[in-house]
Amino acid sequence: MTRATRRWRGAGYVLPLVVFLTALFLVPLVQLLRLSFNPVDAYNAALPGFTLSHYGRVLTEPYFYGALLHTLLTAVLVAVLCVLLAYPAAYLLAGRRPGTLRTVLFVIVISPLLTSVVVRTYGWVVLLSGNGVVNRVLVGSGLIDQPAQLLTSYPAVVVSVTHVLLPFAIIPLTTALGGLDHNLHRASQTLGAGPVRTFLRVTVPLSLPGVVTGALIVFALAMGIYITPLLVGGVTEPLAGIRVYDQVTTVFDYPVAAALSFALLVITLLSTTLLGGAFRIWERRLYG
Amino acid sequence: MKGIRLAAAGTVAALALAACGVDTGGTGGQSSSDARELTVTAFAGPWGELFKKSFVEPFERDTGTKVNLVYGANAEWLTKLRASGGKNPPFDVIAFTPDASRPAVAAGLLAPLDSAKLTHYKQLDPVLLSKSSYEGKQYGVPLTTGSLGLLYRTDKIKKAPSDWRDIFSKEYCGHVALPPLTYNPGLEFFSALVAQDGGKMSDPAAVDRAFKELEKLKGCVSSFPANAGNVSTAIENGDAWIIPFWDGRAFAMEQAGTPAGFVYPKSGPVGALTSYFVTSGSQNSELATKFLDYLTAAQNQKPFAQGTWYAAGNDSISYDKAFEDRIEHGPQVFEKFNWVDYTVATPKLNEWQQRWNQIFG
Amino acid sequence: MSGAGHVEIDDLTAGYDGARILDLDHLSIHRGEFLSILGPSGCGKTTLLNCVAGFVEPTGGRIVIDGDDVTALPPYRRGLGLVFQNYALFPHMTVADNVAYGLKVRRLGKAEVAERVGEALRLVNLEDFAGRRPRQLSGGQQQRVAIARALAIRPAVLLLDEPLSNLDAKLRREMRVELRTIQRRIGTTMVFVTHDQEEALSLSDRVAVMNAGRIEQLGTPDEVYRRPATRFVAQFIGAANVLEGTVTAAGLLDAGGILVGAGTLRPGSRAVVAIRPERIRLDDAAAPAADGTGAGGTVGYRAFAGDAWHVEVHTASGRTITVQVADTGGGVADPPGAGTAVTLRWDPSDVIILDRDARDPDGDRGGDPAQAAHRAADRDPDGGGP
Repeated sequence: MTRATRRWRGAGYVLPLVVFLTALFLVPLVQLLRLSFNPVDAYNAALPGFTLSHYGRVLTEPYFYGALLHTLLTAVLVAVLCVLLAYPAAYLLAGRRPGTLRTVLFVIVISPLLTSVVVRTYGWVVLLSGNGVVNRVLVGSGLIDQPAQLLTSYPAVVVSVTHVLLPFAIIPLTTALGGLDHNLHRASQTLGAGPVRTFLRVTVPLSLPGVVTGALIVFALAMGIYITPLLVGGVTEPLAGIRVYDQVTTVFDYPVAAALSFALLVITLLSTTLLGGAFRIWERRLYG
Repeated sequence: MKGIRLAAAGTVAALALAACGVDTGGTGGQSSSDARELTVTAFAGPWGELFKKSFVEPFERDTGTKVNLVYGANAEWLTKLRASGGKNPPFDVIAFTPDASRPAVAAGLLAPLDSAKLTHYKQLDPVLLSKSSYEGKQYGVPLTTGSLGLLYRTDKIKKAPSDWRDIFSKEYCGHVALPPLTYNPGLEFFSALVAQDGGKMSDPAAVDRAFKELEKLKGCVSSFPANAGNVSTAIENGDAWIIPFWDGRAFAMEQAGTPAGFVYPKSGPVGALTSYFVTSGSQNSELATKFLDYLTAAQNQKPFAQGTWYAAGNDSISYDKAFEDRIEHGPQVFEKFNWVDYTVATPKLNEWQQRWNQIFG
Repeated sequence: MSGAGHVEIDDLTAGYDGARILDLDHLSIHRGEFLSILGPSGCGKTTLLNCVAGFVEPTGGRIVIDGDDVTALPPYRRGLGLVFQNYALFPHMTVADNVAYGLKVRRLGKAEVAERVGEALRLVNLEDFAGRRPRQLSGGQQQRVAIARALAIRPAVLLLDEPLSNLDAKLRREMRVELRTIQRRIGTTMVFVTHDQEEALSLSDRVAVMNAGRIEQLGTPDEVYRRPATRFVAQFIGAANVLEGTVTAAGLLDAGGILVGAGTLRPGSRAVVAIRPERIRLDDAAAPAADGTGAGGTVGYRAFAGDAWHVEVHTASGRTITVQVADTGGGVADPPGAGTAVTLRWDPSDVIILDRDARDPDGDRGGDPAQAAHRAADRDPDGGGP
């Protein structure tokens, strides 16, 4: 009895959060789910009733399922890129003692999060446009004779999304690397292993939880991202988030937009759960 | 780890939500008539600022009404209007282009007008009026109309194009900007292609022919701009030399110093109309109707039209010479315009965009 | 000693920005010996260990192991073993893989690796745990794996950095015995860093007592205990009562009213002496002896510690003398309670002379460390006392 009471008192501490999430997240989410089953009239306005046709369209029309597939591949690519780029930065950050330099480095690392999406994205536009900095350097140096189509290209989308999501990989990686027992490196070295071997045999395997966490966060965020790729890549970029945006802003078909959003959500949840679960099983086997 | 995963999933869902912009609560709508407040929408940006100066300020000055201006665009207003379901709507007076007004009327979200109550109704252009009339009822009053033609860089293209098909010229290959069908100029241009040989959007064979023509641009397009900002960037940077775009924007760009020229294609430009509507269930419909009087008055529309370089809905305006020299207007002109048939286009838009993507994606 | 010259450390200094953590004249470690580096935290013992292991770059001096100057070599080229306080086992490897780690680095053949892993695990009695993960082992088992891992590479010297500090008291005593047994069996030179004097005394062939970056005394456990070279050593090991004063005409040391007989002291000179708490007896309050073998006082505090009583006695002159009374069981010899007047008694032979003919009449506490170190070195031609 008292145990139960105590347990519920603990729950009281998270009550504000629960109320907040329920009111502002769960309720709209349920409404959105309901909307995804509503039939539409000739002009795509939602009508009362129940239909699975929107999910049918999402799963059969290449315009939608192709976008989901493309989004999945892009998110995987971005997650891999982010982890690869974040690792050296996190390694550097984790190795530094707290101090001014570390703080400055950290601020630089999370700066993409401190900049508004519009400013950040137009920064990319300035860099990548036809007579932007990159093209001027390329043409000026004689590497190419015509400005290359950098903006509204898939590489530009991948680069800009990687840029904004990089901090989400760096932060968990820094935590993971910073939490490593320094004595493990010393032990490895006294046993005769040089820095490279120590890094590969000790640092990398032990930082895998950070790698997986970072990759999962970046993956999940990349699955849903749309503003940055929309501004850099344009509305033709076949990402699910942009397709949702399209359905809402130009086709005015909310039920299909909702169905596509939920399909995206389910894919994201499934893949992160599978990946995270697989890693936990592997981890348990590794550490016993 | 589990927490992080949940948080991440939450963020994704939140993004998806943001994209869908579900909003159940009406904002801004004032129901009390003796408060003498009116909620009006306007497109964000310089357009909205000029709108405020040209119409809202005189109206407030003369009537003592307070106007709440809601800046934004079609999609969000339609979303909010649909959420209200025609009861206690969040706006009294609303701006729509035909792609949004058609579904709104179909859902009963806009109120039919009593033309007898509108002082300047007789001066309004009949062609433009007809574009906001559905099933024999007049719903909107025309504010201005843009014309889609060909915007081009005068320094890169020496011989001005004259008709739509010139965009397929080999000389421009690699320098063409093409808006996707989901951005209004894209669909308008497509409509022009369909109409080239007298085709109609409701005719699948005509649509197939238009797509066949579009295929000629494959590999020639340097940019797919999906908003006005993208278009300006592409033209100003020289990424693109030619693009189907609106006259008003082109002349504004020229005024700003960009070497931009504009031609009204021989076979007929495509109209891009903005009309104003009173919402169904508005508690201030009388005040709203009065606002439409200010909106359609020649002396208010003239500075607005000249400021935006778009032809006004009131035909009785005598424009300044600079405007008169550049902008084609009047019922005879509008009559020759190609108008997008949104009744056909809106339900087909996804399918067409998919075909479009197969060519350019 | 046959192994002289095994590890030679000369003029070793370390530190940063003028703050010297380590300032060592000379230290010679013999082959096959068990040497403890004993000192309070911050005395530089860990820095010394890290210099030898290669993790701290000394600012000066050199370290020679078996004739090779290793001062500039990185840790992975020194061929030393290191055992950490927190074991530092690789959590993602089995016990066998942990032990095999250093062998695989050396590219030994599979069979040889397996043989030497088995050998090392047998040495620490953990053959049956080869397939386990470190997390599945107790602290003591983990530390034994760490020792096996370090010994498997057959290091020239095994360095142990407070390896028993994370274990509970009982296990610590058992591990002490085990460690000493292993060392005897394989004969590897071991350098054992600790702040625990009991550990150092019971394990070591020799103990180096460090303070403020220097070695205060180097000697066998009984030497550093029975004949501490400095006040610091006397007080750090065994918590001796240190008394100082002027020698009277009768040859007794007058330490603020307490007269101490201590063999041959020159009358009129200053001297510092120490008496171990367990060498002092408590008698009933009788006439205080004036012959230098006792003093009067009052019990201020007593505490039972199992095998003994710890008693603090305040003398008339206001000094506090610590006394340790062995428990006899049955309570016959229990010391009197607080407030009781008592007489402290000791044998002159138990009085340790730390310094005689001290010139400074104020008596510097502990003496100049450099001087002390020299004295320590002087007295150290392999364990000879004063």
